[in-house]
Amino acid sequence: MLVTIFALVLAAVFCGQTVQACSLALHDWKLIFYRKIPVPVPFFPLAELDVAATRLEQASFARVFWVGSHNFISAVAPAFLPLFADRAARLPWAAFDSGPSLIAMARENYCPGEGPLIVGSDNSYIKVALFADQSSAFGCMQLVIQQSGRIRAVHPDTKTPWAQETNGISWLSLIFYQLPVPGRILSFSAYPVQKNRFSIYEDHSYVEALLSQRILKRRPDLVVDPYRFDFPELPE
Amino acid sequence: MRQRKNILQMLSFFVAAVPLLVSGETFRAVDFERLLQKHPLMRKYDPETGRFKETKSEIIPVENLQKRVASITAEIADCESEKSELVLAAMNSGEASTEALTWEKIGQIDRRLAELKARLQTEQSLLADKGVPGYDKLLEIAGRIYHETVLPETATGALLLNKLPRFAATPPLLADNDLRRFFFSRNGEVLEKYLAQAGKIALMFEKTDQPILYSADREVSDAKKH
Repeated sequence: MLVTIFALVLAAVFCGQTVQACSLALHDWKLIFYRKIPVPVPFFPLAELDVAATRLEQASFARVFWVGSHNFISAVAPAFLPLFADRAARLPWAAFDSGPSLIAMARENYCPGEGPLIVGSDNSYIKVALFADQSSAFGCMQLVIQQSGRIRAVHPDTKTPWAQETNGISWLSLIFYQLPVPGRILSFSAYPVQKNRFSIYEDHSYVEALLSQRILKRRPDLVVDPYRFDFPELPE
Repeated sequence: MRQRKNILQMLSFFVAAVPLLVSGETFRAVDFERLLQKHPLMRKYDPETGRFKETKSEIIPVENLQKRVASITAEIADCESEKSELVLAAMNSGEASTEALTWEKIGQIDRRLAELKARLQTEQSLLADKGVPGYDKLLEIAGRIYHETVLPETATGALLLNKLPRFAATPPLLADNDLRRFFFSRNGEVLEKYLAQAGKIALMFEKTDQPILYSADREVSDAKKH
């Protein structure tokens, strides 16, 4: 009995340590730059896509109306959604400027057949953070752009009308060595896509080269889940 | 036998644990068994199941879990139905004041739904495992015991070496990083190098049977005696 508890206690010691890792290297991220900036609408509707994808699992809809105080970037951003392998991303997305309320829009579209999903974004801000990896003598860096805000969604489904209010969080992460230029990029990823971190680009051979030169610290295979940690929590 | 193998696998974490403690200049050996027995949670330990009673690590009968899942599922359906009625009422009303109130209520229901769905996921996951909580639940409790028993022992800044339980084998011995060198040199860097080979050491633990014990009061460690 004691042997079991003893082993568990020892295991708990390890679990108390905080580590951040990518798929191959073990990083010890230190925050070196941080800014929180209010924005009228998220630049890229990843969290909104997550809401639409979740709703699509329960009920079908033909298109998505994304409502917010749009700028040029956010207005064209939905055009890039089909890059993500998600059923909701392949639906037509249209950016609508805030005007009539979401409920009023739902009322106008309340009719038999597959109506739209109306998704509104407000109270948005972005957090820009730059981390440096202490394990690589601060040579490896991670740039994070995190979008947060309130998301309200209404589905004027004639069978079961539906609405949801949630706090949406999405982020883009670029990990590079010394400079964020081609040839020095380790990985580029986004969250959430199907509720997970989605790797857009990974240069494993470059990571292996840095590991073999002992510039990066290799992740121990046995003890760290490579996808469990992305970066430390950002300040409020 | 299987339980012993699990224990040995978990013990491999030991090699990652020690660096936390490598900061002092003096050495002590501590009888963990005695320390553990002092902790009140140990009274809840059930040797038959290997779990702590009345904690998240406790094994739950499948029938109880099925009832819980059914109850939470029904509550989720009620919440969704309530939201549906709210949306329909707001669309029919057309008043701005009603809309604000509707969103406030929807927000409240969604927060409740988030809790329920998280609970449902936990219960379903437990049900899939036939009511046996994962080792992480045991680790949570072990972590608490560790913080309340072992940490105070290291509060003085002393380096603490663990006396491992006895299993049939010889001490881990690696080509360049023999742990015993550390006992002689008392050099933290040697231990760190040794521990850096965590993977290899973990594989060797199944062949380890002697306690790794060091005491500053004694010139010879138990490991060296053999």
